[in-house]
Amino acid sequence: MRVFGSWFKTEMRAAGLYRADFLLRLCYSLIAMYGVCSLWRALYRQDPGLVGRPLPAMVTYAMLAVALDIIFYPSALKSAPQNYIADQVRTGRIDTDLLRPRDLQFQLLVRNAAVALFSLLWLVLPAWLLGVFFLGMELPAGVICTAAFAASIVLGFLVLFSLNFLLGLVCFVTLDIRQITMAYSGILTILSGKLIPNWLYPEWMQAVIRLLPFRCIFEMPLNIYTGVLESGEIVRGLLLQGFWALALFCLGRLAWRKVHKYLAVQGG
Amino acid sequence: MISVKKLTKTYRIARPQEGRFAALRSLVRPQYTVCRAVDGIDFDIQDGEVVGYIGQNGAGKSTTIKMLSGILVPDSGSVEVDGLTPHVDRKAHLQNIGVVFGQKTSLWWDVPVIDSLRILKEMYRIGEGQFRKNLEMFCGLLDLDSFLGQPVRQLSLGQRVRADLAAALMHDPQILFLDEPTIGVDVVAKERLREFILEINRERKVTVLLTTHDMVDMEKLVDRVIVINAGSILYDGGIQGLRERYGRQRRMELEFEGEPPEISLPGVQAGKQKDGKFVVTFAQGQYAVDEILSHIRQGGVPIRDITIQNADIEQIVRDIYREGGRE
Repeated sequence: MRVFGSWFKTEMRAAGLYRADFLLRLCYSLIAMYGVCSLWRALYRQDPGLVGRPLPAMVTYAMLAVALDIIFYPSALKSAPQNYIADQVRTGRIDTDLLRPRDLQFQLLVRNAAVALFSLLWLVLPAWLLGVFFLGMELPAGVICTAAFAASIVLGFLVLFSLNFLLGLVCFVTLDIRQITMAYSGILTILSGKLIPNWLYPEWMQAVIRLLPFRCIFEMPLNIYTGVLESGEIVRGLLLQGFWALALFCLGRLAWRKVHKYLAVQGG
Repeated sequence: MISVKKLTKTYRIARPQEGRFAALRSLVRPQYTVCRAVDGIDFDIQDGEVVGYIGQNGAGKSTTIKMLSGILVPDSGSVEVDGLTPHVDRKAHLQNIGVVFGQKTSLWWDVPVIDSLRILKEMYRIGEGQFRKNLEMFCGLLDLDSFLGQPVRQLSLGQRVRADLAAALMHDPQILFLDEPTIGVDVVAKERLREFILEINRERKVTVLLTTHDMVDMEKLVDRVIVINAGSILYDGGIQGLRERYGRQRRMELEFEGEPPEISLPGVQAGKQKDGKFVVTFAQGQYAVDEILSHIRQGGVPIRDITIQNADIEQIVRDIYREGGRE
């Protein structure tokens, strides 16, 4: 917890230090929000019954997805587990991570959680406020909905973290994950409900998506926020997210143990 | 404190294959060359010693350090550091030691030094009082103040090694492993690093094991030398002993009034160097200085100046490496 606090303070200071970078990130998300907002408005003018949801709900969904992207898609950040591991493996510095009295998975989780919380408070929240006041974003549908949404974001973060971590571990085998990362980002964009709502896909594809963890990252929290889920569905959704978060975390743990053992015996 | 017995580590290295479908075959059935990096070494290091661990590139120095710090598991033999087996009691052991690699930083690349130190403070559960005390001391000794706020990637090599040393010592470890700490650092910065290491050893009784290729490091820092070659220990003892055992070469520098004469004594090497000096080297027991000189005088060219030296430590080490320790 205190390591988390240290990382959080470090992020705060870094934002102060690199103010232009920070403002650019905020600008980027505002522009992206405005962009998707205009896109859906234009689509609705063509055919209001296009997606089966009222325009304000759809615009809220799309804009919130873009805002959440700041915390959920930090692939550009060096601290994202897959980028960090790739960097350390490439430069041979991974030894130094193994020399710390904490587990690598723990180290990365704590750092990324701190980065995510920082981005949530200083980037997502302002973007959300501006969205609500100027771009017609709706508020969440009640107190329970808000609480469930918060829980859902945390679980979504954990699912994404574990997927990223597993991707990072691939690096120990292949030494380079740039190509795999491209494919992975593509899959994430298309199947997580970030850009295209999953209910617009054909039935067979939706069935496949239901079996995969990706929709736990964006679709779940967004559906909870926009209030299209009933309370029973919300509970089921959170449980499913919890299941994937736990399963992937354990998988990451197992995989890391194996890799670690291999490193210790084979010497990287 | 540190006890190593019959320690062995082998690596398997994939061997490139030749002929038809080589790439495919090496994918389906890879062939390996077994490389014995460390081959049954024994040594003990007492509390508070500063031990130099030297050997050529690839002799097994870093592999030993990695086993001592617990990130590599030995194939056979035993390692014990302060009563713990490094790769088994990993976390407890890592709280006890500090490690610095001269070649790579252990700090976060894009995080300011002070923030890295604060994060390490929490990771190692260092108390605020201890942290402040150490920070103040290291800032004084290593002159960290001027770059504490900068991310590691902006630091010069000398600054980076200083920051790494401070980071490795924040949690008051009793043992410090330094893997080529002075590599690539300028002369002034090297001197400062050496003073710091000595100070830490003196004041805090920290046991230091360092690998280096810098013979000045050896002479200024080290009480005892362990020489490793191709995975085996060639020599373990004081620097003086190293001189006595291997420093059998003597070196004579001569200046002549005219053309230097031909010298043809078996086992004696003679020749003109780039700077015009005429250098004669010979084995200590084989000839007396007088014998050599009278041989030279037979040539009839008057000698203007003469200096006679014992081999310096660098020369000795060069000989050991070259001969692989053959007596």
